[in-house]
Amino acid sequence: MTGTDGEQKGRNKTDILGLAGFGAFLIILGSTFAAKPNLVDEIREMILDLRLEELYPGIFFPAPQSSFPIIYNALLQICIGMFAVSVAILAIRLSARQPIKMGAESLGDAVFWACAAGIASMMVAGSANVLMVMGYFLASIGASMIIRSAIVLGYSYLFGR
Amino acid sequence: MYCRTCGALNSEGDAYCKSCGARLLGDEKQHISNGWERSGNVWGLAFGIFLLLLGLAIASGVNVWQSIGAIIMIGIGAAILAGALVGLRRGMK
Repeated sequence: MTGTDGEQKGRNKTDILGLAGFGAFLIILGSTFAAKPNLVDEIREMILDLRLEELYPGIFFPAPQSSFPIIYNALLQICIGMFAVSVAILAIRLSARQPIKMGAESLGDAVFWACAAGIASMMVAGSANVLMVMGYFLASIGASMIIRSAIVLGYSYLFGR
Repeated sequence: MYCRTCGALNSEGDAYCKSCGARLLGDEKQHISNGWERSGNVWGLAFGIFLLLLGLAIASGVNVWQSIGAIIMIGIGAAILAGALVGLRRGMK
């Protein structure tokens, strides 16, 4: 194999586990819709129920006026399912001794889905308003990014790689 | 020999990484690309901290919109500080 071939191979190499994660996401999403046949109608109702809500003086954001526990429960199930998938992918990556960067990504995904499950459970309990959902969602993305970057940077700082 | 890109262990004399296919020997461009990747992670960390704090502030009911100017200023300041720290660390190497 020539150097060019090797470079080409590296560029074309697909992250199989990442692809498997996306497949699992579609399966979880599909089975959630299959298990709750009225979910589509509920989503339609929720969209029709959206009204502009004043978050801050002069700042409006669309929010549903009623509670939709079926949708929130479905969201919770999807988040828990994806959290389990992320943890499984992380375990496989660690056991296969894959590069730390990929492990950090899987751990970041797991943290994001765990936080999202927490937000969804607050929505199910009815203890979250629009601001809290938006805020915690942003904080979840931030926490996931911090985990990914901190692990890669910490590893490269400690081991000089 | 360890790959500068992914950290995988390769045999001495390998020209390309077995794990990610990155060039291992004598490529200055590769070194530059690693620098970019590292600085990308520093920016990711800084942006992540910014998002986390912003999200927690919104969730706790702080009127973020009212103090958006101050938040942007703090964000730019933190980014410049992070960039300066990375540059300082590179300079010390």
